[in-house]
Amino acid sequence: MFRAIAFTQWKWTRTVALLATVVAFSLPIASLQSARDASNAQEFIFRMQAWGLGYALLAAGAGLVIALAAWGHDHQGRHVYALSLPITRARYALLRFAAGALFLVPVALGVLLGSVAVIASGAIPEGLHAFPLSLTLRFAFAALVSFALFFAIGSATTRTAAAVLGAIAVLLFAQFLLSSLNIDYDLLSRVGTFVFARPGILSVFSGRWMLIDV
Amino acid sequence: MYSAPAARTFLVVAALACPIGQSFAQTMRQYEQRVDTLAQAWRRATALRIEYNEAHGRDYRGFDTVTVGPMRVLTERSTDTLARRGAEFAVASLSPLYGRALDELRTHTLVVRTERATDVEDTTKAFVMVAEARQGAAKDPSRFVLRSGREKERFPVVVAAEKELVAAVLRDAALKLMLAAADTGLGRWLFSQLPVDTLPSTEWTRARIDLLSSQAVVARRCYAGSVHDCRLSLGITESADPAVDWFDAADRRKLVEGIRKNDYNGSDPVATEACYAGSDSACVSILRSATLPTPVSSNQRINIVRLAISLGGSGSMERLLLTPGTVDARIAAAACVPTDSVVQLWVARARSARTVSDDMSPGIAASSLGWILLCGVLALRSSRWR
Repeated sequence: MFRAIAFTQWKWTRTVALLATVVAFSLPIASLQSARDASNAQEFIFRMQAWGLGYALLAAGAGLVIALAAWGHDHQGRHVYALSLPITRARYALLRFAAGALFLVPVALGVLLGSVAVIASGAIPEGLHAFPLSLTLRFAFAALVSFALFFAIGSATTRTAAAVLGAIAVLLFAQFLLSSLNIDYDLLSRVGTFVFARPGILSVFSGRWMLIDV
Repeated sequence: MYSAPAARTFLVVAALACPIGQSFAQTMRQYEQRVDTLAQAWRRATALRIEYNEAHGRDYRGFDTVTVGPMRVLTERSTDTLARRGAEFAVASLSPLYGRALDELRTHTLVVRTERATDVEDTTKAFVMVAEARQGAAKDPSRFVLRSGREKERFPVVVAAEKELVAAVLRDAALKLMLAAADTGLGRWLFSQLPVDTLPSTEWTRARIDLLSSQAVVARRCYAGSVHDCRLSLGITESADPAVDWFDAADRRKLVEGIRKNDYNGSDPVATEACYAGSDSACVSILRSATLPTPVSSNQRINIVRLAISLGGSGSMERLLLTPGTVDARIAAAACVPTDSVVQLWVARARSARTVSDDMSPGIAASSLGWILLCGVLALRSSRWR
């Protein structure tokens, strides 16, 4: 059953997954290219660090697109295919989840191979260290968090999705109201800290993403 | 038919606009006069405040004296507790390392008094000034003394009236007094800073970056293991000609390029062109008249002393300050080992220090797994097509 689900899901996802893999492989190499002519070790690190946001965005984007692709055809077919299968809904969702998570593996491998290529180039200044495994693991976790989050949203009812969007709208409106009433309370900033500071749901995306460090 | 209402509207607007324009101009003049009046009042108030502060700062007759070990502090009644606790902290924290060097404080008097701070946002807080109360006329032989407009108070620092802040400032004032009393050469070498603790492990990676990123070849040779070059980089061995001793030909050319980018008019164009053409002597002549960057940052000199503290233990700063002679001799006295051994250890630790990657940690993994599981379970429980 898993093979069949994974196979059909792969057909919907492969373009995006392969594109993300190519970008993932290219990111470390592009960062090296930008840092290659740095005048000293410190500048090399700064230039490499500037690409950290790219890893976070790629992980978030890959997770989002693969999660939405996992449910896209079910939504279009009004879940007739899923209902025709002799399995529970929970098991079906689990198979979809596992298949989607599997397609993130090549993207993470792309980051690893790109990082290894950077190390093999011999262009890293003396005294600096590379952290390819840590970076790849972080990327994999970030992509999985993004995938799981959007997979959950995608699997929810329209009412749930509306509730999530409604909560965001209420938050923005509340901040607008506070500002209009001259109340010095940065609600968005507090929510942002709650979400992005550890152990917030998006905390894996925040902080430094360093392939090369001291 | 069409233009009549428009013309009427124009006339009404013009009629209304004329008096408004006049009254606006009148209002502007009035505003300008008011601003001038306010500015005069503000200048008078500022002059009075400065006069009050000056008078207040010079009159210590009503002040109490707090004596803690070698430290003597004049203080107002309202700041008595702050001054006493601060002095106790300063003496207790400095005594183990500085020992008899603290005796220098017996010849000085510090002052802790309330201060009006009008240039800070938070006017609800009380502020105090910590300074040295000078006994005689203003004569200051040291180049490292921070001067203020007040003749009788030097090293003035204004902080919020909180015991931790006052204690820290009193400790810093004690350090400044000890350094000002020490050899000028030592003060210059330490960039007017005295350490109060040993070297934290995070500093080693900075030392490595400093050495590797230096514009001077001596720093890079130091990283490679040359003790002589380390001594030159750190200024322990003084260089008679830094342009030659610190940099190689390639470094010198880069430096001249930098000088040309920042200040072309200040450098000799003929010599600059000759330097670009490959004449190292031209580069040297330009650099000899320029201000050169030190091979490593001033922090590394402090770090060498902090390493000497960790090697020498109790009384190490006392030995550093009270041992006569060169920086080399003082470091050796502080660490109780030859300076070369301290330098070798410093460079060895800088080389071997390795930072832990920020990319991954058990905390990141645990929180990520938790959220993945939670989202997964929510997805499984969804009632989308029930």
